Amino acid sequence: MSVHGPFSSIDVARTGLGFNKYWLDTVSHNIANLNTMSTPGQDPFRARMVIAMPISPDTSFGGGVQVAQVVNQEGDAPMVYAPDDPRSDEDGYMQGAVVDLAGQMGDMILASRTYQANMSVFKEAREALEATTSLGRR
Amino acid sequence: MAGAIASVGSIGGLGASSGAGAATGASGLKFGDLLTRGLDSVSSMESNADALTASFAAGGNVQIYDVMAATSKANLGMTITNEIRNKAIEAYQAIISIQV
Repeated sequence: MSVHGPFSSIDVARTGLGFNKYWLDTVSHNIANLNTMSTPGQDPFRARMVIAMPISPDTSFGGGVQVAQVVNQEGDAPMVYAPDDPRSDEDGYMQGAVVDLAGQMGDMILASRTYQANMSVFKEAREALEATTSLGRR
Repeated sequence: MAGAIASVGSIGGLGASSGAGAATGASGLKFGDLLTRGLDSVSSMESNADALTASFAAGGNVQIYDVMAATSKANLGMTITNEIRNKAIEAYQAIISIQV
């Protein structure tokens, strides 16, 4: 175990805020591209999935979370029949985005609630430190 | 930022070391020096918070939670330093009121 700085809980909560903000940004990007079409054969739009990784608490920093990597969602792109669109192939098909909207909505709620939870930790840590300084008063 | 946090760690030790130093006189550090050092680290935290706030206001690549963390830390550092100063004044007044 290592000695953490006096403000380590604030710093740890800040990494949580940062990670969940990034997750929300990513969900927002995925939902924004829900109707991004492409010609079959090209790479379709694939939802980006954020993978979390802990920061070691065995440092003076006190731990936290960080983005390990961002991977693309796998699976086949849905085919859309649109013969009038110039992007469609000879058969008149275009491929849609590989985005699971229901899953993204779930992720959005999770990211938003986790962001709020980290805000509570931040506030609580600050109040605890403030209360501790008042111990010296009579 | 980690440097600022580490140096504030020395404020935490300030009460204990100055107490021992005042009692035995073994420690070469004066209370005033310790307080100055504490104020210096608070000052660096405040200038860091200032820089982040200015950068955020100017539309820089700074997140609002970074600004809030920096300002909270600077505020708490100031409060802690002020509490230690108050304790020192209290001790000084207790000594000054000793009847000879």
